[in-house]
Amino acid sequence: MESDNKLAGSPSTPVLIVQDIRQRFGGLVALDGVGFEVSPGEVLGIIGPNGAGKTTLFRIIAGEQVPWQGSITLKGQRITGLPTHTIRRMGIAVTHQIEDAFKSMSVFDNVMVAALFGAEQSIPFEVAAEHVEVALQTTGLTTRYADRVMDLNVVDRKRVELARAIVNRPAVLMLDELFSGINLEMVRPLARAIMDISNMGTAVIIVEHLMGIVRALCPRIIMLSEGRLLTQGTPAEVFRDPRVITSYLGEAHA
Amino acid sequence: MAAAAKHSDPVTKISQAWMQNRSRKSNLFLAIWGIASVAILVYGLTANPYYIRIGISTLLAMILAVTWDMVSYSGQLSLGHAAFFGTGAYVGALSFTKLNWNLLLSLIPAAIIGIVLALIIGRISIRLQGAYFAIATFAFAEAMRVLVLLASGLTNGPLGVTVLDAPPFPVQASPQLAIFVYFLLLLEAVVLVNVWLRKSRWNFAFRAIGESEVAAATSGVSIRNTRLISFCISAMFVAMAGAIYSHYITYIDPTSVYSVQTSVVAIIYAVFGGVNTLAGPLVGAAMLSPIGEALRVALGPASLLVYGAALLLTIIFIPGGIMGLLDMVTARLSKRAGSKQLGER
Repeated sequence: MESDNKLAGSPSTPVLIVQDIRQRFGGLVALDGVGFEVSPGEVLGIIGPNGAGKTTLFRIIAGEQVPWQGSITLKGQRITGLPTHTIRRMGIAVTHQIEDAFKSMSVFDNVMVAALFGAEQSIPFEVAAEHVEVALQTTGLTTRYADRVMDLNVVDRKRVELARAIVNRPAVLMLDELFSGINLEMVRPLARAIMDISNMGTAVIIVEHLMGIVRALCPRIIMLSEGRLLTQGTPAEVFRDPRVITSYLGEAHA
Repeated sequence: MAAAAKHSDPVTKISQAWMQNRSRKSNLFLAIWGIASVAILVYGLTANPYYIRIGISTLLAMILAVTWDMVSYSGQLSLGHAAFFGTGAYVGALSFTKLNWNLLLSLIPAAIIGIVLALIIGRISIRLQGAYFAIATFAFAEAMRVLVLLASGLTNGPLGVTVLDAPPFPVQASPQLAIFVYFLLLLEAVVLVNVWLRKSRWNFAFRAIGESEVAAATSGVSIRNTRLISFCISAMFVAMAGAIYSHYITYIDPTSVYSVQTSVVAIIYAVFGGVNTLAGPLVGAAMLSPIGEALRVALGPASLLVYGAALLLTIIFIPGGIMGLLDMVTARLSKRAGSKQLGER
């Protein structure tokens, strides 16, 4: 059951290597030596109860926080501590838990910002516009391309955020609770979009509270608890682990 | 991007429509601005000296308003125009008195020093937001005034500098007409650069940062670099305007060229006309500056009260300024027209 994650799943070299990340805020230890790897095209789920350090880990990888210790390597290059926009250009794209968009700009222009600035090389407008259109097709937004984001509902705003993240075909896509607040019939099209993206070689990291979605989408799961990597493996392995049950449901149910 | 091929077959319907639509607004603006420029030039060539002076202060007001709006467009409220204007004025004046350079030559050091100053203050304060950035730029302008006051070996301190030099001009003309033409040429450069900025990729960075810094950064936009670009371009033009101004007014001292008023009126013009639009700051300055000039004759310093009232009324009743009002009217008209012919959508 203690499977070595380097061998689990795909044989290709990892695109993202996270090593021994430690973070503390004053006296509080938020992360206490977390490490994992993700391969191209893999879909990895990160779960854990509130306060386990999921969001802190997410922010550190996205460059929104600098870790106290540890290193993050993307495609063989160390990216620890680089600014957010540089990390995005190098290939890590994220969507945030609370969707955040350029609200008075159109859907197309929202995605255009990322198409123009989210890649390492600058591209002409014609090419960028085509990339935007592909991203809008993948996320199912083509009919709403001219609408302002402030006029959209929550699901469509999440789609805009997803489209903005995938428009440059990032090496790694990180989704922070993308599915929270979304009704069930909308889950399927979003999930299909994510599978499409991973099939094209992007490594997807899903941070999620909804266990059903993690179980369905992620062949491999990492469980964080109190800033440590508690266990990892296939959904079947992880959800059978008594420590996982304990930390989610409390001692009495274990 | 090869992997995109699978999806990209039906592409280009939306993207082509978007590409075609992209420069429509700025093209309309450029056409109108072209006509306006000719009208301004004809005005300058035919007006008497008093009206040329009104024209000069209006052109300067337009330059200050558009350059302020450039910074505001990237989400920063600047009160630092006086720093760049005053420094440009001193560079213009001193390069004549110390080096015997004419107006056109002095524009080069004025532009360079404007950019360098903007880089210095930008590096320190560009991360500050909203009111904090405004306070930092305001303090910087005050610090520059005090610095120039103290460096009396170079600047003559509180005694000021006199510039008695007719600006070079290819044909026979009064110095005032020459100044008018140079301010008009500078305004043309400001407007064209502003149009270019809004047609370029930076337009998307400016708007994105103005709406959400977090989303902009996660989209790959460097917030610091984007803001430095608009801040430096703006400062360069303001410093050049200051240099021309020093040759126009012929006598400058620290209090007059590092005046807070320079920073404040730029904001009033832009807000009155409509911030973050191409035409708004131009329209606002063109309407308010001549009125202010007339009021100053009648009321003296109290004329600023009228500006303050205009600003308040604008913010309360037409927050989008004149251009916002225009947009509202055209939207309502086209809505009425649209309800008659539904085929459009």
